[in-house]
Amino acid sequence: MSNNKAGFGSQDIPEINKAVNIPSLNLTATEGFVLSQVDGRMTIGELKLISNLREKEFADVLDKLVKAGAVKIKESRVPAEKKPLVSKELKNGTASFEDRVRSLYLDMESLTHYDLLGIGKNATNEEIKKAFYRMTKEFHPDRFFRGGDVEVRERLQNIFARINDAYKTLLDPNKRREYDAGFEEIEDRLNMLVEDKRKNNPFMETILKSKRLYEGALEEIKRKNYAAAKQNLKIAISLDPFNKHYPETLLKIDKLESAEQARRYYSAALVHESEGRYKEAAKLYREAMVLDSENELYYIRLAKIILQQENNPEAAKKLVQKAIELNPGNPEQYLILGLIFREKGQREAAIAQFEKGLKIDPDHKELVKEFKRTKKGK
Amino acid sequence: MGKVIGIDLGTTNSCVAIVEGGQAKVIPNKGGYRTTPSVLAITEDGRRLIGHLAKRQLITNPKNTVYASKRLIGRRWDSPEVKRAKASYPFDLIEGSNGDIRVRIANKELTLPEIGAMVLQEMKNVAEEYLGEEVKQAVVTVPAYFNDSQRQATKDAGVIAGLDVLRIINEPTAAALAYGHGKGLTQTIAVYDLGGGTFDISILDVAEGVFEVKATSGDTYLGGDDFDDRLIDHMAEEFLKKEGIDLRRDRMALQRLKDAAEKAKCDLSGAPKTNINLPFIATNETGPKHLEVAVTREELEGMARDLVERTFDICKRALQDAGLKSDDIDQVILVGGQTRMPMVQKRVQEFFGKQPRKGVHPDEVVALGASIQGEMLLQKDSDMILLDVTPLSLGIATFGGFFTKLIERNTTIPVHREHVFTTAADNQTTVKIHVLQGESDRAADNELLGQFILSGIPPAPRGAPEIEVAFDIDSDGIVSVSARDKATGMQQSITVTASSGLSEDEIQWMVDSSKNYEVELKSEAELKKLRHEFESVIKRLRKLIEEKKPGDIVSEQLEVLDKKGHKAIDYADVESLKKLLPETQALLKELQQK
Repeated sequence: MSNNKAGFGSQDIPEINKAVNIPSLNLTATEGFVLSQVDGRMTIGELKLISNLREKEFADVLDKLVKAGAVKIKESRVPAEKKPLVSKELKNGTASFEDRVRSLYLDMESLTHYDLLGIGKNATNEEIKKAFYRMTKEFHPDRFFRGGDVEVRERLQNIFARINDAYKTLLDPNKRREYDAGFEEIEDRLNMLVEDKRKNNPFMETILKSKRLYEGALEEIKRKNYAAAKQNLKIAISLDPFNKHYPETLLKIDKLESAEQARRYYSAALVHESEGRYKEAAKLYREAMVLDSENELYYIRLAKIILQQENNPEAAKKLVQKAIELNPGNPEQYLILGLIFREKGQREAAIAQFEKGLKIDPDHKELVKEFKRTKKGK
Repeated sequence: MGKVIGIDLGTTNSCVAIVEGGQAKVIPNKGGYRTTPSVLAITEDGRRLIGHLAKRQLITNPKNTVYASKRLIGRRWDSPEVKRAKASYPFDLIEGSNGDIRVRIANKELTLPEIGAMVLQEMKNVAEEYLGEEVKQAVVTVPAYFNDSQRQATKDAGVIAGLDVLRIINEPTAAALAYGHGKGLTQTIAVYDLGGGTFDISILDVAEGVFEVKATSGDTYLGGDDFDDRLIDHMAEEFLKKEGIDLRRDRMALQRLKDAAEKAKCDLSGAPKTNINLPFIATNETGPKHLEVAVTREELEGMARDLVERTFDICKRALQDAGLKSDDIDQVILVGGQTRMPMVQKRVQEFFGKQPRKGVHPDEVVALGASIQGEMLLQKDSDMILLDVTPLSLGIATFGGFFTKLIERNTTIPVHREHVFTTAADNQTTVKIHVLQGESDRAADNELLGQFILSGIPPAPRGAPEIEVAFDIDSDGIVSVSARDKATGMQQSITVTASSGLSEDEIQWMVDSSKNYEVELKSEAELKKLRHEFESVIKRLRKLIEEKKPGDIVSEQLEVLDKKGHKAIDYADVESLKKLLPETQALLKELQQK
């Protein structure tokens, strides 16, 4: 694959330069579109593919974006003789087996045979075999023999099939030659396709295809395969950049993804809190808030810790007010607000808050207790 | 977690092993023998015998003793192997309802999976007695060249025996596993497995705890029994020449010959010459006749040379498939009793250009390997993995009577493949998928595993519809197939069971009915009476339906009842029949009142 003007290889992965104020840059719509696709995961080659631009056009756009400082190269995908490119978690070896399976499963379709086995393009048969055996020992379905999770089992089946396919293809000199040649051919064919599309404008077909991809994405969302859904949508957008549903859905997925991550942080934090590690809990609640700013639970839990452990009623009050804005129906927040007022010596205000909370849930034990205590204290 | 045993279900002998303290070991049976003959007998008084006792009474009770049933399991009634077996086996073989084979002994009809189950159950008992606890899980071995039907039938046997079969594994692969277990080898191994009934050759690469089968080949009807047959023919011919009597026509005499042949064959592995003496083997008008023959090792070798040579044609094919030459092989392992024959050992050494590995017990190594595989599957942190292959190409019959392969032989399993097919005629709305296994380009020359129909395809010109056929071969080597019309999404799938002859229902039935095995004989009279009653009600129902034409629902009801009833009759299940009878009578009454 040829290098572009900016001097990047097609396997380089660009990311957005966060130090630059993007809106202040003077970009065209095309440049803006390309920039919007930079996600720190796709390579330049892939970006070019989905942006549907001619070679030269794309190179110009990239050049402009780099010069403006909007993007920089994060890393390069598998230069020769690199370890398997299967996500950071995998490399660290800290991720659970299930996580590693999921991660590889999501990545594997976008990996070349070489990447998958973690070998260079010039690997010998010995090296190929060694790599295959290493992967097999880790990902053979027997590794999870009769394991409870059907999804993991199915993924392992697919992963093993993919690894085996890579192995068999690379081991056979004829097939390997064909495969290597195929790379260039695919490249050429894609370029031709782009040309064709401009000439013949098979508009309907493209639109239909993008629609199918979009439907596939919706299906994937249902199954919570967000990465796959995103992939689908990105291609759909590249085929039909005018459909506003696609970018909207893409945003929605990002939200869903963050919300899910936030929920995970939240449940981990609950554990910390119940075991008295308030600092850790507070940190995770904050992370959850950043990821999903619309769930009042995170604010409430954090407020309680700040109030009771860090003795900072002002900060706690702000958090609770935000929570009430989001959802006025949670009695917990009135409890905390009441405690804050009581702390400050504002007994009447405290009682009023407790009463508000009790109106929502008359049986809330802590509310009842604090309410009585505050009344008696008179 | 319970314990898992490895069972080598052999043609002549079976063996059971277990891993204890990281070491695989064979479990001896009550008699102290490390292997148990795969022989089942039902004595005159109705007792069931398995193993050594069954084998010992074979001569006195040949009609009610079943041996070498593995040569028949999973085969079809009309196959050439079964025709051959019918001629030489002293017990009766009859055709089952699905074109499968049944064995009739002591007035009972047994399917081959049932017979296999009894042997498996015996091996399970051997293990339980030794361990003093119940054993539920097992890994069972099959010849590598077994096809889908034979594997399926073996798995069925395990289910009937009440075992949770974790995996069906290939015998030579198991042997390699037992040999290489814990040695940290980096080698290319050839396993030459000539057993009682089957021959397999497997070529494996072993490195870093991965056992990768590169190629496998074999003949599921070539083994020690065929060597015996040569010797039997030789003795019988000699006797015919001398006395004018053909001993092969007399079942009892034939059985004695078989016994003597087996013994002589073993003797000749250690000695250059042996004498066979069978007094009173026959009588004619001139009085009792005795058989006295001397056989030398050279004579036996002359008789069996072509059998041995056949194995090397197969070895050549396996090497070719693996892309190797004979001197690429680092180690040769001999498995199976017939490899004790000096000529076999000599020829193996010549063919591979190296001395076969000593110290591998040919009768035990397979069971040991099976137990190791069981451990590997259950242990989460095992650092060994087995990669086996499918021995036969798999595909479907296509227009013009051709065989289109979807999965080539020697493909690593588990494997999943998809292919799109289309119709062969205009406006064709159904397709019939014939699933085949074999190597011939002509569909008819391959083994038919099963067939199913995909209907409801919208009418279209030929070649327009797209039918996606997906094949799966699981880690047991067992095939499942599904077909989908891409336009309608209509789907059909089967787990190919056709020639095993047993459907899922039937197996379940056997599992249940083996639990009350005792009630069966006692209640034979009762069964007769119930059967008579049931059949007469059904007959009257049929007549009424013809007269009154009450509609499809009633007819269907009748068919269901009839089917269930006949199943109950077939399996002598009195209890089920007792429940069915009032139901049938109720239907009759209802219809009469209409």
